[in-house]
Amino acid sequence: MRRAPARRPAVPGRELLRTSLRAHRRQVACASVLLTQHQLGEALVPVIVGAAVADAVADGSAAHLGLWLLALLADFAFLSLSYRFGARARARARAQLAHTVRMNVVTRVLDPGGGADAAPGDLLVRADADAERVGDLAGTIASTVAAAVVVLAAGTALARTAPALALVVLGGTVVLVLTVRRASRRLERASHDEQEAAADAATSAEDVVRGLRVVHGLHAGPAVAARFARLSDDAATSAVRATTIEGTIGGIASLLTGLYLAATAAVGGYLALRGSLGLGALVASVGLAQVLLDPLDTLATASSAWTRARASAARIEAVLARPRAVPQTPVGARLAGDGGPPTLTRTADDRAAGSTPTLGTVGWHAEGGSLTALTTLDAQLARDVVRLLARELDPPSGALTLDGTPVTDLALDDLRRAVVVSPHDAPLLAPTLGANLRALAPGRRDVSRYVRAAALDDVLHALDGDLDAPLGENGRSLSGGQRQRVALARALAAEPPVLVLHDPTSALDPVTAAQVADGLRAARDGLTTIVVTTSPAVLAVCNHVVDLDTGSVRTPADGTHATVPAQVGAAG
Amino acid sequence: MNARADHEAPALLPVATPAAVRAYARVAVRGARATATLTAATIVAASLVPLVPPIAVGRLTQAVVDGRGTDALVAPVALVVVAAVASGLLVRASQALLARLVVPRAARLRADVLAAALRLPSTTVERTSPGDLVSRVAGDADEVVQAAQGSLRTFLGCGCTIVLTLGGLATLDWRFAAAGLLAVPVQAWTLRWYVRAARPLYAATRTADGARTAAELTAFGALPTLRALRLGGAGRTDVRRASEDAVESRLRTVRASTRFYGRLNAAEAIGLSAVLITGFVLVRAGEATTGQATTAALFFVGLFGPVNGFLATFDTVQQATAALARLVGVLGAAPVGPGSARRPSAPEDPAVALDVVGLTAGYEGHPDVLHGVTLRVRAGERVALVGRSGSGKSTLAGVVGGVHAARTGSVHRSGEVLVVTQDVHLFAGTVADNLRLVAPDAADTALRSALARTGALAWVDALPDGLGTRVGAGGHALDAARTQHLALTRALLADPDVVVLDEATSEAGELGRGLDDAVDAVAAGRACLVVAHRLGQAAAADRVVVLDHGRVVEQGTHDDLVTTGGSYADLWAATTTAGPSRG
Repeated sequence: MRRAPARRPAVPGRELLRTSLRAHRRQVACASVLLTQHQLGEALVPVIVGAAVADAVADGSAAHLGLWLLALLADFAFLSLSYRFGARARARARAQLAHTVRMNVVTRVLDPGGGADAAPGDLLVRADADAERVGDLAGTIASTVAAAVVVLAAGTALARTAPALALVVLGGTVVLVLTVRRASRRLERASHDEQEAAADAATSAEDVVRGLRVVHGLHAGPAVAARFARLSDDAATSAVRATTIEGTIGGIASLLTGLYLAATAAVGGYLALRGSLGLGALVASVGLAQVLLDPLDTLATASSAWTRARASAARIEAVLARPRAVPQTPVGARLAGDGGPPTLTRTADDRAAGSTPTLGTVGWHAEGGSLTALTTLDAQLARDVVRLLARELDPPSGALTLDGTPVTDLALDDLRRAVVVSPHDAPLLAPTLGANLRALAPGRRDVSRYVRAAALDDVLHALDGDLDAPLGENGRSLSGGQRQRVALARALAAEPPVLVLHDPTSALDPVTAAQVADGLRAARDGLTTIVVTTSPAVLAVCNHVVDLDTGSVRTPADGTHATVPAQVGAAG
Repeated sequence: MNARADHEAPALLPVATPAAVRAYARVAVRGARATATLTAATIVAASLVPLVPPIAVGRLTQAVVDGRGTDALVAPVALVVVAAVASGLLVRASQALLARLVVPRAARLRADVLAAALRLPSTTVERTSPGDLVSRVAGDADEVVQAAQGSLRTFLGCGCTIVLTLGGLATLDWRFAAAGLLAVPVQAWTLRWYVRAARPLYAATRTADGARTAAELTAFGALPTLRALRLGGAGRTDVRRASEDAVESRLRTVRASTRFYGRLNAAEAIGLSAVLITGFVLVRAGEATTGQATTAALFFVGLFGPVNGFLATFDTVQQATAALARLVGVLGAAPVGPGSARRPSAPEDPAVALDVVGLTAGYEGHPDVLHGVTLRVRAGERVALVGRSGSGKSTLAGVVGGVHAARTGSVHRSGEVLVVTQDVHLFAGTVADNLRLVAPDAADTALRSALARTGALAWVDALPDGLGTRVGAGGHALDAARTQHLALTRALLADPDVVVLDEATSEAGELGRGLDDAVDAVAAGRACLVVAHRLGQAAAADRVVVLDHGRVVEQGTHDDLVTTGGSYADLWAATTTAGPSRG
């Protein structure tokens, strides 16, 4: 029985390059054809010059000179137009391939299933610089095809006149390309280091800009600048190394092309002096050999462009291949329910899961239409419960059900439409107050009740009532408490069947917090709400308060104050 | 999510004028005369090489015409071989030297730009987009390095080749050179047209790229929120639109570039025809040999590459200049030394650490947040700043800390003021790195001692690598409370004269007790202004100041204010009960 051949280990990056180039093959082909025409036109120039010299100049025939000049002008027109459209086609292929690859990265990173989170600066290098490198390959392919065709055509033409010359041309090409290819393998490692160092510098720059306020507050500008300077220097050292290696490869290529020209001149000259090669053919061959230097150079550098593109493609594949944190369940169960506000139930096992995250051993139940608080002294537990409700993770034990259906049976999108989680300190993503409020409810015309519910009247007043006044990036001109309230209003405006909030009043003073708590209860009347918090103001307005540490459930009666977990005390 | 096209783009950081860019470039290269000269020399030498083959072929052609034997082969071929070896060495040398000359300087420029950005007044930074800054520091700097290496080498090399070739043509016969120069008017006119038409196109491309970076960073920085709120699709659309805009912008630039090359082709056709006609005429008149006519024609054909390369480096120089202008623009926008807000006068009374008189302040383009605030903190005194959300507490903290500018009024400080905010941000690096931000030369023992005093040493030692654990972006994740704990430790390490804690324990939620000890350690023995919404902190302070709508409405000790009644008493009551009217 024949053994199946051993599978070759996958080369990182190759698959991505193959599929994305195939998707753009028509653009690349079009650019290749046009650029080939251009190269052929260029190669004809020394041939026409050689013919003009031999036929007209040497013999002194004005009529022949006129004819050859006409041929020359026609050739120039041809090559010029071919270049104009070829270069544009090549640029389009490069830009659109880079765009396609970039959107692949963005789509994966923004996938609702998650799992590809990383530092923003690192993702940026992959979506921008790496995608551009892959895109460049489309251009390189078009140029390389054109170069290869013209070298072959020149070799064929030469073979007709003098086989020895054709051998020199083609032989020279092969030696040159192979030597450079071997040398450029060393470049791949240096190129990878260069990309890593560049990524470090970009991440660091982005990191510093995000923490600019902190840096200012610490007067640590000089220290931070010094650290970045060191990182930048490291990137520079890598770049110098990579460029020096490129220089060595360039030097070798230059030496070899020079020797190749010498060989052409020697063989051609020998044949011409012996009388077996015409004068026109001699001039044409050497001129051709010179014109072919550019296409040969393109062929020689094609492999290093390929290695660079493959290195970048490998980095992109690494992102695309990351598994989702949570499966999407494309065909999910329908949401059960009688049309009323849903109930959400968490059943936990008694065995405490030793692995992280521990989601507690306490089960709880949020009745439809109620305002339920989940409170705990353990900040990590609070975070994990919210992540569970946002389905950033699935519980290692126990279950979470929505109207009796386990959330793992529901399509992720359906679940998140029914259960909206507003994360703690969620960023504001729109430039104006009005746009932020409508972010989850684009059709909502009147947002004033949500402004009131989240106690945003002071913010609106500060903006002179203008909902369209710019807030700066991520609401920079607002205080922390104001941003928190805008995020709350944004979530309220969506009026989801189930709303989950995490410490929505952490940045507010007690009076504002109480106002917000009242507004919250009023705005969520008849809908299900879960608040993970320890704020006394919010606990006071809830129908039920579940203590995730002890399992006790309290029902704050009218008129009395909510008892908060004992350790916090009255001064909290 | 926003659709950026519908709103005006956020203001971008300034862009330097061409004169400012030139001045910067001159200063940057000044310190490396020797290397620059050597680099230029190798480039010039390398550009002599392409002249050799046409000369050799010319000799060969003449030998054929003269009917000489194969011994006439030796000299020309030997010439080409020697040139080949020389060029191999010179190409490598020139590239290595140029890289060593240019790349470190570009890296220094990049670092200088970030340092300048750090010195920018925060009001400027509030207005602009961080994506723009990142695009400049990462993308533009890269562009400058690439272009400076590629275009500079080509510019010098091609320039030399052109000059030497024209010299060669003139040596054969001045009329050959004159014929070749017929192409020049067309080339010069083409270049002038291109420089004027292309500059705005390149600037537009850099702007479009910056906008795309901004859209990507917005999305990448808010991933959990985008997932939870189902805004991932909108985020993707924003990036897609910005990317498509950038593609269109780039293609517009390429269209102009191809029109440029098309006109250059016309110039080549004119020049080559002229050289051939000249050769024909001169050979017929017997004033030149066929070999010389051949050499002249091959010289001119050999000029196509260098001329295109030379003129095309203007193409790349455009890109680099646009990028350089954006980089130098940031340098120009920042104050030269530490900000002027950093050298205020000290208060008259030496017992007073902080003296604020009649202060008004606000955010750029927005009305005043503070209206005539007067406040005094004595040395060693802990003052709590209390008020509703939006009453101006953080703004006041910012002005006191020198982070925001005052509009009117004055702030007198007896020394360094350090602000710890509610912004939790750990920089990518080790725990020790983050602490050393305020004391770069601090020994590990000093770090450990500070951690012990704030009570954080135990959990820091419990981390995988203790003080050496990498935290922040891409490192070990620390929760917000621990991050604030480190921030407080950092404040202690800095040992400032005045410390402002702006809701610095807010992330611990209502359970902030754990960090209260750390706050006590930081406040001990120095003037401390605590901005808090947890009234427990106010109760622990020496004095309480109450702000309402940007004005000081009450001042006094906790006990006095509670007894007297008023806003503070109401706030206190709201904390201890659930509020005056419930149910």
